[in-house]
Amino acid sequence: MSGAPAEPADEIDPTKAPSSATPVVRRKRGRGIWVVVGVVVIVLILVGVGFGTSWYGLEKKTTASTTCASGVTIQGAGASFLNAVMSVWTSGYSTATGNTIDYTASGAGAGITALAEKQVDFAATDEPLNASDVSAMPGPILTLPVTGGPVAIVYNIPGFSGVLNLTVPELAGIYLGTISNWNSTVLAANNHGLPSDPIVSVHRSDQAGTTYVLTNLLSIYNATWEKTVGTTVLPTPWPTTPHQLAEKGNSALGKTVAATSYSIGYLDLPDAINDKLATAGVLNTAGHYVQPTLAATNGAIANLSGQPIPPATGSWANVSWVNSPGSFDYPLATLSYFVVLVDTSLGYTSSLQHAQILVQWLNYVLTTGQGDSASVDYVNPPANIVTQDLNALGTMEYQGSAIAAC
Amino acid sequence: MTAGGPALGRRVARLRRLGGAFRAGTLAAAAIVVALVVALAGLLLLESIPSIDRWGLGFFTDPAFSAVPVIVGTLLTSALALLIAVPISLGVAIFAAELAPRWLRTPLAWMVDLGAAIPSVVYGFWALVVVSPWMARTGEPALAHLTGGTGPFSGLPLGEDYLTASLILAIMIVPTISALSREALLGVPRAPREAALCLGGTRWDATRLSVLRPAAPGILGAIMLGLGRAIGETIAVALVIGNIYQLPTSLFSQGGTIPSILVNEFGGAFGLQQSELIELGLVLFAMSFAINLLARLLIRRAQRETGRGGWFSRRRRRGVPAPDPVGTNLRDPLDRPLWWSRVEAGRPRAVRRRRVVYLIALVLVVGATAAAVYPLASLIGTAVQQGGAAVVTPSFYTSTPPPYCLETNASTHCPLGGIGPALQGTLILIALASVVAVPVGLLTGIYLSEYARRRTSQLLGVLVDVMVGVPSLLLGVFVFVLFLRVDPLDARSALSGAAALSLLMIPIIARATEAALRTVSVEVREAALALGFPRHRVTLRVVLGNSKSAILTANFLALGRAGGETAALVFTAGTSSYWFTSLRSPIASLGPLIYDNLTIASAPNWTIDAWGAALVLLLIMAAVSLAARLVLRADRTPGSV
Repeated sequence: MSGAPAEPADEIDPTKAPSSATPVVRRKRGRGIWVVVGVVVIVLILVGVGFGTSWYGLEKKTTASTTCASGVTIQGAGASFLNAVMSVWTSGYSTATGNTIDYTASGAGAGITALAEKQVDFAATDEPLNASDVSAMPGPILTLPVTGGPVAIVYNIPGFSGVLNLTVPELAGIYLGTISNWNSTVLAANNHGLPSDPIVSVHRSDQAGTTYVLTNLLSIYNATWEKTVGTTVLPTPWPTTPHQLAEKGNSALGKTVAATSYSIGYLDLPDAINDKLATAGVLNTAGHYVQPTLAATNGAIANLSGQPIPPATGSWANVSWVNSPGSFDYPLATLSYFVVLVDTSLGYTSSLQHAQILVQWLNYVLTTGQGDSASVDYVNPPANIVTQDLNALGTMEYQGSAIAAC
Repeated sequence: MTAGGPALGRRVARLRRLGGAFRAGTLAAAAIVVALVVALAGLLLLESIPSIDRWGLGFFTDPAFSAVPVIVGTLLTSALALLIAVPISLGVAIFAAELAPRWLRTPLAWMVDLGAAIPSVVYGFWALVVVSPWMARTGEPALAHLTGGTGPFSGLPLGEDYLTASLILAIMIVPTISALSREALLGVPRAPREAALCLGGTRWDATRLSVLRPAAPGILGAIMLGLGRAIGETIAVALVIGNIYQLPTSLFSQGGTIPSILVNEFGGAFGLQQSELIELGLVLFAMSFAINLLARLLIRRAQRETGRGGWFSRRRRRGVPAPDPVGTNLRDPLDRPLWWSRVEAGRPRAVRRRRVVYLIALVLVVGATAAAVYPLASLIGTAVQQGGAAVVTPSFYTSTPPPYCLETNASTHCPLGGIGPALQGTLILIALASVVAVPVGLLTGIYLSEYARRRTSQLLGVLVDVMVGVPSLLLGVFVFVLFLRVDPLDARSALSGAAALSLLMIPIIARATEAALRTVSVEVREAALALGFPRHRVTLRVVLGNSKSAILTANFLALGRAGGETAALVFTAGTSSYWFTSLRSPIASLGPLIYDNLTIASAPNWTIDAWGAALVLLLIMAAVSLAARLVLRADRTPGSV
């Protein structure tokens, strides 16, 4: 009873005290705004939560299954060189199995780093891993060649109607800065009608597999290059020349060459074609100037597959696909490698089921996927290497035991 | 009274507890912000140790190392950008706030706001495809021709160099500086302005003397914010600066900045190289910290100067005038004795002279406005031209990106595909980031304005400003490295991306909330307190209620900023071509999609998709800034300025 008289006093709400017309109207409008805010926030939360059907529980299943799961996402990162064929593979694989592949084409170096830092299930690179790369990995690795192609030398020389032909020493001279003008007597020997303008050389500003292939070939022919730069994916140190540019990614490099008069650069063949860039013929060991075509690249890979091929678990650091001896072979060829951990559980792969799907994906690339290469101007590794890859897949493990096929 | 005592007591106690809890909540939010800044600096320092061990001071002196050129490059491009942007921005602000015809002011202000909201990846895309080729073919050869190709204009113009990078930076910061300067000009009381007009001054006289002087601190703040943005800008600069790390010999030299070398090389770096890049990040952090402190000092000085007679006055240190009962020493707004004004007003020649000055000023500000609007129009035009067809295709919003397509001949048909996953991913990232950033930002703002003591508030304000000024790329690097050390499996995931975005949003929301709350007058608070309100209800209902539109606008803008963000996401959210599956996997989003499609592959359908995505972002930004404008206008009482 005693509380009763106090109740009305409690109900008095000072916010409602000022009762002139304007504030009341304003408050109503204010509520409207808060209602809008509320709705927006709720919608945003619903969008966020609504899609979170799988949240954390997604990949907790650890028992092996004889039927392959679907809806699993495999993570990959690395070279942008094979980005074109990768997008065809991932699209086909996704349609066939219901699993998806997230591939980040952040550059070969970034892929290797991501694998070492347990960010991805697999890395892709045009540079076989060297000893320090391997030692940074959380466990033993497999190196699996999956595709290949030429590194095209592209140029933009206004007023020059011929086809540019270069020897490797000339290419080294251009990137070292010792050949600084297009009408240099060295270049004029094999090219007529080049203008007198200075050469603008373009290279990659990120850690790029195409840089590795180029520097690999230049190091063979030019001692100065080998001493100052060597064979590397790194953008630094790079020789200082009077006119040079560096770009991140093949497409940015292609766009820059297309926009910069009297420039020269290097990139993968599909992007060179899509950017409508002229490609230079490069002199091979047999004395022919060869354009970066699929046939010339296939020939180069085939002729070089006689070199000692290490097992998938071995060191590939000394394997090289440049400077093929065949008479019509393109000298700047490369294979691209997938790199995975033998025991997938040591890296990003967090469940046996996930590991099974990873193997399924690698298997797809090495079988069905090989048929897609030519459609986007890539070449396949020789059959014996593909067989070696497929056999290596059988040795992959999850937490120390073999991964049952699904 | 005796009857009501216990119940009232309970009620008061409950209110006290509530109030205490609310206060504690705001304090906790502020503590989170402090912890974040400390963690950011601490982690960068910790990760830099291998590099500091290896290089010591050689980091700054060793010519074999690229630190010096990129530090110089960062400073040089920012300084040049300011040199270009400040006069143009002032012109735009003066035109939009004072001299433009009334019907033009609103669309102009909207255009400027839009320019400030356009994501940097869209600027970068346009810069690489439109500006850089134009500079190489037309702009730079013309400059070289005019100057005889000497001094700063010597060398071969390639279109990707310090000059182009500075120009792009200037184009990007002009809207930011203009928008804030315009606000500063509009915030000046009208009376002195009208006084100047009454005394026979032209509208330019009135602006120069009665508006620019008091607005000086605000304008200075705007310039400093622009400088901060220029120093941290990443994507656009990296695309057009040439990325050759050397000391410049002319404006046509190629170079790099700290953010550009980070975005180029951080992804592929590990071990010592990663540590070196993080040390560069630390240097960048220190630079934006220093700019912030400098800005505060300058603004405080400007405020003092304004109080003493005006920043722009040559005679601002004259001190207190002697008593003058007759009025002979009274001065007009032109700082001349009043009697002189009266005499001069009758002289046609003097009037004509002032008219001419007015006209010149008008031509200059109109020219500046044209210079600011033209790039925006070009950018929007290019996006509409390249991405228009994609944007009106419904499947563009619901499809996944297409596979790479080789355009071998004209008959090749490349499927358009779409940006569905990126659109979805951006929404998810923003939603996740808002869940953290909106409450923390709001509560921090409330704490700064309502609860903190003056000293504490100032100190905290510095920290929040530092956080506003931290380049978004650095936030991304911080979050990525933090996850890498704590929970590496999620370092590239939706969670990680959302964390980076919320770090981006928190300080923006906090600062804007604080500013909005401070506009509520002390009288209103006191009145409410006098009526017996508990403190937290005064804050929540009276203070917050009165400033809700401004706060809402700030939240809108923060969301918009996050929606177009790229640099903070490239290392954290990763990329994906598929629909969202898990918070722990990489997630597609619009900014990175544009950046990737632009840089890594030249498939024609990918390029169209990128332009389409850029146009979608532009449309979203236009809608956001329009919505913000409408909300603010709806809340303004008619008649007030």
